[in-house]
Amino acid sequence: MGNRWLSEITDINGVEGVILVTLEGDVIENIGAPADLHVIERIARHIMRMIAAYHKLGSDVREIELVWQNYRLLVMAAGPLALIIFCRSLRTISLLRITLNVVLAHLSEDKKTMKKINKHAARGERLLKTTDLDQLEINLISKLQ
Amino acid sequence: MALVGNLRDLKLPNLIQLNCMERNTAKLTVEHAGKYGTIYFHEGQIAHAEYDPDIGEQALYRMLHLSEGKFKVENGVRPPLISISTNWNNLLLEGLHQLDAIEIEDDSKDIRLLSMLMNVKGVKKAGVIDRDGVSQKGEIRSEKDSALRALVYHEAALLSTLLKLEAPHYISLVSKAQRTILIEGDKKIVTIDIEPKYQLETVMPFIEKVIG
Repeated sequence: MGNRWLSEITDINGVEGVILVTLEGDVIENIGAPADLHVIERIARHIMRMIAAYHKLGSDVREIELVWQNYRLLVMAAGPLALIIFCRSLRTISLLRITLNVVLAHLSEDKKTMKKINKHAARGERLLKTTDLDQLEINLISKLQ
Repeated sequence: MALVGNLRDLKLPNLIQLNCMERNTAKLTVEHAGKYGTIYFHEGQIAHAEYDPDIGEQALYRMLHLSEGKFKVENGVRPPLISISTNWNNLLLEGLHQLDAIEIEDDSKDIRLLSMLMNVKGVKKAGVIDRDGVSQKGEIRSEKDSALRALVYHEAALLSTLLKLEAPHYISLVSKAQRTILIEGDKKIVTIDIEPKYQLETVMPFIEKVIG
């Protein structure tokens, strides 16, 4: 069921792929993400670490955009899940945002998806404590305490 | 045995001073961002320096700008040629003087940039932080807030590498209270808070025009 909703996103012109992730960066669904799964998982963890860091300081991030010359990552978070969208074109960004809001609402009500997500239920704090952090990450995270 | 370390922990002027005062004959190699620079000491004087594409005093002055990078000091290595004859004290003074002049110029550039950003409709706050999360200019932020923004920027840079891309052009984060934009400056991060009612697509062209 989850995949049907994700296809609504990948059908939009310019969208290369989409992943559904938990707050801890575990990839639950993946359609067309442009790299091997282990790379995608690392990307998801970097993004969810941003959200976890904001949460640590008492603020909830609901949208992140990373913009390069010819590429864009759009992240929409809602409750215990987040969608990360890999885009090549910026032309349909408004349509993409509307679709994402609709898809997130449906996914939040989809029992099968939520069952998968809830298996991993956590606030993502683990991402600020893992051993695979580099020295700068460790230094900056220590300043958040 | 070679002395190795990072310029973050032991600054280059101190390393130079140490070798000169000890009257060393040695080779000091610095590696920063895949680029190598070398300084040769001969009996306590700086005898030769190379930092692509420069040789001699200019190479030394440019190396003094490095605030981080791995270094190695190998004792007993003689210079392959003599490209510097000025006394080490005078060289260091001139190098540090040049560095100060650049920093003053950078400061006024930052102040001008921030005041221009504050004139963009929708911009609430603008500031400059360094990669270590230390607030440099503009809106004073708490240490935690600056560290948070630097961490976000660093995570974005790390994931860019995984996607085989350069550092992102900009990052936008939306929370309940505001939209935050992070843009890479010269070794710094420009952070801009925008009122949430303003669309990214509306404000960004004006911000990009200011940043250049």
